[in-house]
Parts: sequence; structure tokens; C-alpha cells
Amino acid sequence: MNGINKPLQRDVLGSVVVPPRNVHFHSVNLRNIVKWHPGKGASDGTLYSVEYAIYGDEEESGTGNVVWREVRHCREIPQTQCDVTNETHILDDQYYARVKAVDSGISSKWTETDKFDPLFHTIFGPPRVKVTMVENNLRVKMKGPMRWKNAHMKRERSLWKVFPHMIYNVSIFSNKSKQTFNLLVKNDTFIFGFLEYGVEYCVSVKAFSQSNPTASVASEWKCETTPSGPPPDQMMLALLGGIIPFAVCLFGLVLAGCLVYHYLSGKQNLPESAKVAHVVEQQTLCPEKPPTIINLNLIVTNLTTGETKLTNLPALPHLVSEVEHLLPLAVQLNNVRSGPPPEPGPQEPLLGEEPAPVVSYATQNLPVNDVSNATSQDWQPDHSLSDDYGLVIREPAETPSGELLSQSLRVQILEQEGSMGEEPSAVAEVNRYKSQNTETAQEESLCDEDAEEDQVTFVDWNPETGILNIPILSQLCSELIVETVNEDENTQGEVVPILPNVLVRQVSEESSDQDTLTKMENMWGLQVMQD
Amino acid sequence: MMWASGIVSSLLVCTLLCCLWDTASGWKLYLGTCTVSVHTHELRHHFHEIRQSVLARDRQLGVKLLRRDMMKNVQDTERCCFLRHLLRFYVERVFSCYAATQSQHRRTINVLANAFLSIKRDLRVCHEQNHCPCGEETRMEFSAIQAKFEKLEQKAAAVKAVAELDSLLEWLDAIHHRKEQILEEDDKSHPENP
Repeated sequence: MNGINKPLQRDVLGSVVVPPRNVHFHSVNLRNIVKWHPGKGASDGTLYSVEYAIYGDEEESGTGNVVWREVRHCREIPQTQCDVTNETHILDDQYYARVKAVDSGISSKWTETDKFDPLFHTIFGPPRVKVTMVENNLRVKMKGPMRWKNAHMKRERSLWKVFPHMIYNVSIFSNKSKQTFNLLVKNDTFIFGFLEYGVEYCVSVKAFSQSNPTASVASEWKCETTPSGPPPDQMMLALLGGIIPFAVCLFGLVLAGCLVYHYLSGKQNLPESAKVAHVVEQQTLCPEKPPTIINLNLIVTNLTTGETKLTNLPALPHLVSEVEHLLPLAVQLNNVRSGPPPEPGPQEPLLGEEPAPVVSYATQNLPVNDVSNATSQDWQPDHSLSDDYGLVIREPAETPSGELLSQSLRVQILEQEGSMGEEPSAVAEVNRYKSQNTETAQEESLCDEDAEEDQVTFVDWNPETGILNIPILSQLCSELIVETVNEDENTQGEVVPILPNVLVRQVSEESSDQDTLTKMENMWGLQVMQD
Repeated sequence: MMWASGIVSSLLVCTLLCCLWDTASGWKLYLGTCTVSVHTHELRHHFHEIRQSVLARDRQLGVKLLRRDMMKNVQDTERCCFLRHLLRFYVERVFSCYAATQSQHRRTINVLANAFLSIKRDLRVCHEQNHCPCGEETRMEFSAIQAKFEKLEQKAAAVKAVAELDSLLEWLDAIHHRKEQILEEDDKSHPENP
């Protein structure tokens, strides 16, 4: 390089020997080689001679010039490179080399290299890499790079000894994700663990020194493929650790389910104390069926004076629903009145009053004497009750027979009869079917009262079945009614429903004994609503 | 208000200084009992810009000022002294005489000179605290360097000295890494000794 600009050396005949070009050191793993290119126009038979010098190796003359030493094995060689490793093995020294071309006994000028510092200019060669796959772990074992063995070394040694700050740069390439992981490793063994199964991984390692800015060559890619699946012992472990406990748990659950099923479905032996077969059912139900006689007076009144159409009852459904929620209070008050039932006598003036007495449902539990006094003030503000309404009041028990379970229902029907010119009220007082059979005499007497145009009709009304029986009619065409009554007795047995204070209207069309009611409607203008 | 802002600003300055101290501590150079911070990588980076040109200008290949083996043999306790003399030599004798042929060289030489001055100042503090003792052998080695330098022509000697900065920086790097290695080995050996 330094000799490029120098004048070419000529031989005696004037021919020119071209000096070599680009003379330089090339060092890998401290194997130091001087390389050059033939000069332009150099003949094929050109030979080369190489010399080297140690920087600071001054000539004895003290002129400051360096001593050039011949490389014996590189004297007039045809090659374009010369290994000077043995001559430049001292790492603390810096070296120079120079090369000349010799053609036909004529030498060219020297071409010199730059200062060569082995520690800084050598290239780290590829380390030896051994890649093994341990299950799905990549085990990378690295060695070297090894220093090129020169004549002064007894054995090959790693560059670790020369460069204590050497470090490995490990590149791991996943063939599946096409990604490369780079890791710096100081140790010579490295494990890259928990890789994907069935994926090929390639490893390349290069070494470099942290203290010296040296170049390095990476190793070739060495590839290993992870096993396609977990090894059999892991499968066994999964079997023992997962599947078998699951099966045991499942078996236990099934066993427990069978036991529970047998326990629930099998016959159970109750203790003697728990057997209630001999206890009379009536006794247990006694508190629920108070043996008090409750008489209900159902009073239906049409307030619109002068209106004679019986079918015009628009507010009835609403009335019924509004009245229903008041029933519990009525029951309470009825129970309070457990004393001797009052005589029906005081009720007579109410029935006889003109215009038809409007009795509010709120007053139905008042003493009967007060009903007439408390009528219109309580009633009038309520718009929903402006038209026809039914009123149930408690009637004093007047059944002569002392049967506890018999309940009489007196339905008082107040209606207007325009033909009469007055506003007569029809009151039906009917014993319940319980007492009906035993007290035919009373019924007959009642029927006699009806026959005498007494304006009071006694109606037998079963609140449970919603059947309304008018005794007079039942006497006239009584067979059907009697049958139904008997059926009711047979089916219901001794279970007698409680009859609280009820205000009920029944739709006549829906009742079972439609003929009777139709007749009654025609005759009496009775409006019956059935739930 | 001024009081609070003063506290805040002083805290910020302290934090900044701590950060700088931390970064600087990464380049600590342990020279016996004296510790200085030397950024050898930066120095090498600057020197690399002119290295090839300077090496080509040095034609006195037979003279070597800084012998690597000699520098390695300097005792740990005397490195401080050796470096202090060497830096003073470069600042007073080499850089002042170096005839930069290009402005790039001049700038680089200025940067290196300033860096050396800064390190030399730290070493002077150590020297005043008697942390930079020098043995007779080290004095002789340094005298040999000076003698070789003075033997050469002034400008050529300056070029040679600059061309040999490689050796100086390498020596500093070696000290730095050797200390790191010692510290690492200490870290490794501590857990083993209960």
C-alpha cells in the first residue's frame, strides 16, 4: 500500500516488475496470514517474498529504523499469501509485513502493510456449537473459538485465555414463527427451554470480546426439531395425576347419587309418635271451621230511581272486585259477635223504607239498628257504587235447629218494580242446603210467605259452588236441585266450608241451574253474579 | 413561594447530578486507592477518526514509546502515578507539538487533550491526598519513554506518540475490565462462603 506511489523498479533491460497490491494481514483466531494481490500486468510466473517487522524493534544503529526479518517459508513463493502466525505470535507486539514480487530474478519494490495488532485485528472465528434436544429444551454447548495452534503452543487453546472478556451471542431461529432470539451468554453451556413441540429451531453462535472491538464470524446454523409431543412418561404422569382422580371422583358421585335415590324412593318407617292415622281429621280442622252460624244478607239495590231495566247493570263487576278486599274485616267483626244473634226484628224497618235504603258496605257490620241512620252519608260519595249493588249483612241466626254446621243465607233482593208504582224490595232468606233437608217445614213456611206476596224471598246459595237455589222454585222443580245437593253432600263429606261475610254477585248466565235463575230473573228481577 | 421553588430546583439538580454520577460510575477506573472516571469508549471513538492517517505518518517503526508489556507490569498502586505522568506528558509535550494536517485532526486532538486534562485534574487531587505514590521502577520506565520521545525529531515524535494512543486506551480498558472481573469474582465467591 505504501509502495503504490513509488516509482516502479526497473531492471537493466528496462522491463518493469509490478509490485503486489493490497498487502494486508488477515487474522482469524490469531492465525495471522499476510495476503496480497498480484500487481497489474504481473505475469503468471511472478514469485513473491515476504518479510515482517516487529514494531519498536529498532536497528542497532539507532537510526529509528525497524529491523525487517525474512519469512523463510515465504521466500519467492508463487502463492499470494503467507502464514506468519509463528513469527507474530507475541500478542503484546505489533507487526508490519512487506511483500515484493520477483520475476525472472528481478525484484519489485516492497509493498508494506499497516501496523498489525493481533489482539485488535484478529477475527473471532465461529465457535464450535453442539445442539441437542432434551425433551423440548434446546441445549447449546459452545466451545472456542480456538486459537490457531502455532509452533510455540503445546496444545490448542481457546480464545478465552487470550480474551477473558469474550462473550457468546446466541441466535435462536424458530422455523415456525420465523423469529430470531438473540441472547448474550458468558457460559459455554446454555439451555433454551420450554419450546414448542414439533418445531424446528436453528442455532447460530458468534463470539466477540467486550474489551476489544473485534470482528467475529458466526457459526453455521445448526437445526434441531423438538419432539412432536410430550414424552410417554409425561403422558403417564398426566394419566396418574389427572384422569384417574377424575374417574374416582365421578364414581363417588354416582355412588352417592344411587344412595340418595334409594333413600328417597324407598319406604320409610315412621316412628309411632309420628303416626296420625287415628287422629280425627275433623278435630284438626276444627279451628279452621268455626261452628258459628253465619247468616248473610245479600241486598241488591238499584239506586237509579225509576229505572226498571233489569239488565242494565254496568258497574257490577267493578263493584264485586272492590268489595272483595273488605271481606277479612267483616270476618273479624262477625267473629266478635259471637253472642246471641240479634233478632231479625230490627231489620224490618230497613227493608220497608222508601226509597230503597242505600247501605254502604262499610256499615254492614254495624248494629242493624244503626244501618238506617248511617246509610246515605257513607254511601253517596262513592261513585263506583252509584248503580246497582249487592249488600251482605249479617243476619241474626234464626234457624230454630241448633246444628252448628248449618248456615243460613238470607239474600235480600231489593229491586224496583215500576209496575207496582212503589219500590218494593224482595228479600230472599234461604237456609243452606245443610239445613234444607232437615228443615223442610221452615222452607215451606218461607215459601208460604212468598206465596203470600210478602216481597221476601229466601234463596239457598252455596258460596262454594256458586249455586243459588230458590226454595220455592226448587219445590216446584226440585229434583235437579236435590240431586245436586246430594252430590255436594257426597263429594264434600264433612268438610264444610267457612262462610265469611261475603258480598257476591253471580252472573246468571254462568250458573249451573240456569233455568231456575232465568225464571227468577223473570219473576223477581234477581241479578246474580257468579265468580 | 421562592423558598419552595428553590427547594424543588435544588432537588432536581441533585437528582440530575445523581443520574450523572450513576452513569459516570459505570466508567470508574480504579487506580490503586484513587478512583477516576474515564470514558475510554468515547476517547477511542474520537481517536479512531484519525488513527489510520496518523499511523501512516509514523515512519519511525523502530521506535516504540509505549510498550504494552511494560505498562502491564506497572504495579496496581503505582498506576495512578504512571497515568498522571503519562497524561501530563501527552498534554504538555505531545498534543502541543502535534501538527495537525487537517481540521478534523485538530478538533480530535483538542477533544482528547481536554479529556486528558480532566482526568489529570482528578489524578492531581488524588496525588495531593497522597493516593498516587510512585515507585522507583515506574519513574524509570517513564523516564525511558521520555528519553525515546526526545530522541526523535519533535513533530515525528508527536505523531508517533499520537499513533500509540491505541496502547494507552487499551491499557485503560484493561484496567477497567480487570477491575470488573475482580468484582464479579468477588460476587461469585461471596455466596459460596457462608
